[in-house]
Amino acid sequence: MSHILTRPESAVDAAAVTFDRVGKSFPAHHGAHVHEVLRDVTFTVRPGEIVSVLGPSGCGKSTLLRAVAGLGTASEGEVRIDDSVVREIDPRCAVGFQEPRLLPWRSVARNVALGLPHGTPAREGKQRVAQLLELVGLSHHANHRPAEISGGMAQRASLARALARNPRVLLLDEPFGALDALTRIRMQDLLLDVHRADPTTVLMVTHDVEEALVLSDHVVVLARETATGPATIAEIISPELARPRSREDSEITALRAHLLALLGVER
Amino acid sequence: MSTHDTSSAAPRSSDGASREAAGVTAVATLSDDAVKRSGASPAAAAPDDAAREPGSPAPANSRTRPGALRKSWAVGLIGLILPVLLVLVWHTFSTNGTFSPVQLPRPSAVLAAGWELLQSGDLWLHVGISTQRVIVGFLIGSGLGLLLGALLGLSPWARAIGSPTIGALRAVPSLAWVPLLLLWVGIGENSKVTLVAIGAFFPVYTTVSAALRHVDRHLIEAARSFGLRGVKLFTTVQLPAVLPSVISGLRLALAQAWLFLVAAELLGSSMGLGFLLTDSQNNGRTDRLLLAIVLLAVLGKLTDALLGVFERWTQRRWSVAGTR
Repeated sequence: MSHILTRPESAVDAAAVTFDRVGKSFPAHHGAHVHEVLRDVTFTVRPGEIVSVLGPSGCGKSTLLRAVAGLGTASEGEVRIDDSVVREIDPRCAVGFQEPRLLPWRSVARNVALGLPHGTPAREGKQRVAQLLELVGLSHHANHRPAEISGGMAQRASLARALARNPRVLLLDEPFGALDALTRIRMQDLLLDVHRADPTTVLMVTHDVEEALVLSDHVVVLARETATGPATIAEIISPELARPRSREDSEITALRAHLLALLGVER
Repeated sequence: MSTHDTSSAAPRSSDGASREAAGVTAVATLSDDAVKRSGASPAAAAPDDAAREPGSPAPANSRTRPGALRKSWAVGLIGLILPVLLVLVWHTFSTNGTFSPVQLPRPSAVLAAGWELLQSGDLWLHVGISTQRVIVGFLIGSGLGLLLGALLGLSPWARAIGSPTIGALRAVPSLAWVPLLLLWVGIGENSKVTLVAIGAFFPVYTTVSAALRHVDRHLIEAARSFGLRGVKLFTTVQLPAVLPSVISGLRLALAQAWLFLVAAELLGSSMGLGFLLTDSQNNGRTDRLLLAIVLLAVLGKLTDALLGVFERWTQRRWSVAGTR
C-alpha cells in the first residue's frame, strides 16, 4: 500500500489550537444547581502536533473536542484556532467520531465525498476521494454500502471522510475505541502514515494510555481532585521519542505505569 | 427507534428486522407490509451483522423466501389462487339455495350488471369521478401532510405550537366533518375532495413528523460537522432517512382516501362508486352493490400498486444494501 498523499493546491497549513481557561458546566438534574465537569483547562497544541487528551470517563474530554469543532460551547473561557475564537461549526476542523457515522444509503466513496470542502469541483473531488480510499485501503470497497463492510473498514472510511476536508485541525474522538486490538494497532499505524504524509494538527481524545503514548507529542491528562469535583489538567506528558515507537520501549512502559498511577489504577 | 447507542459500530436501531421486511415487500406483496414498516428509516435499518465479511452477498431475499417464490410471476399466480377460490365459493352458495338471489346474486349476474353499466356509459362515469376525487384529494392531503409533518418534525417550536391542535383535530371522527363541509363548501365536488384530503392528510403527517424526530442524531451531527445545514442537510440526511416512512405514510393515506371517498359519496352525491352503493341498495340491486365493492377493491389495489412502483424506485436509489 503506498501512502503518498498529495495535498490539493487549495490546502492550507496546520493550525494551532489554544484552550484558554476552558470550563464546562451542565444543569443538574434537579434544582438550580449546575454540575461542573471541567475547570480551568489551559493548553496549546502547536501546528502539526499530535496531542492526546486522556482521562477517566465522564471528565469532559469529548466536551473539549466538541468545543474546538464548534459542535458544543464551553461555559467558561474560550477555544481559539490560530487567533480566532471558535463560535460556530468551524470549516478548519474535521471530526472523526467514535462511531463511523456513515450514511447507510450512500456508498463508501460518496460518504467520503461528504467531507470534501464546500465548492470542490466534481473532478477534483472524485480524484481526491479515490486517493483517500487508496490511502486507507478501501479502493476495492468504494461502491459498497456501510452495512456491507466491517467495523474497522467503516472506521477507516470515517477517517478518510475527515481527511477529505483538508482539515487544519483533525479532531478524533476515541476513534479506535470500538475496534478489536489488532485493528486498533493497524489504525494507529495508518494515522501516523497519514500524519507523516500530511502533517496537520491532530487532537485526539482517548482512554487508551498506550495509544496516547505511542502516537502523541504531548499527552494531556485530565483528573478530578475529588470524586465529584470538576476535572482539570493533572499533568502534560511529552514522550520525546521518534515515531514509530515500539510499544515495548522502556520509556513508554515507564510512562505507562506513571500515567496509570495518575489515573488511579494501582500497578 | 430512539436508540443512540454510542458504543455501537454502526448506526442501528431496535428495528433490526426492517431491512428484511423491505426486501420482501419489494417483490412480493405490495400493500400488506406497509403498516409494519412505518417508522423504519434506512438510517435505522443497518443490519446487526455489520461486521460481515466484505464481498459476501447481502442476505436480502434468499433467507426469507422459499425457492418456488423467487420468480415474480410465480408470486403473482399464487396470489390469484385465493380470489378464484372465493369466486367459486360465492358461485356455489348463490346457486345451491343457501342464499336468495337478492341476498347474493351469482358472480355471472354481477358481471352482467357491470356489462350493462358499461354499455350505458355509467360505469366509466362512476369509476372516473371516484378515481378523480381520490387522486385530487390524496395529492392535496398528502402534500399538506408532508409539509406540516416536515415542519413539525424538524422544528421543536412548530411542534410545541401545532402538535396539540393537530392531534385534537385528528381525534375528530371523519364523518363528523361531513355536515360542516356541506354547509361551508357546498354539496359539489369541493366538499368531497376536501373530505378525501382530510383522510389522506393524517397518515402522512403522523408518519413523517414522527420519523423525522427519530432520525439518528449522530448522523445529523456528523453531517453538520462537515458543514451541511438547512436544505442541504435535509436532503442529504433527513429525507433519505425518512423515505421508507414517508412511503408507508403515503400508502396508508391512499387507503384512507378511498375510505373517505366512499363516506363522502354515501352521504350526498349523484355519481361515483359510493353513490352506486346507496343507489343500488335503495333499488334492491344487490348485483350492482357487489359490483361496486369489487370495483373498489380492484381500484384500491391498482392505485396502491402504482405507489409500490414508486417505492421500489426509491429503494433502488437509496438502498442500504447496495445495488451492485
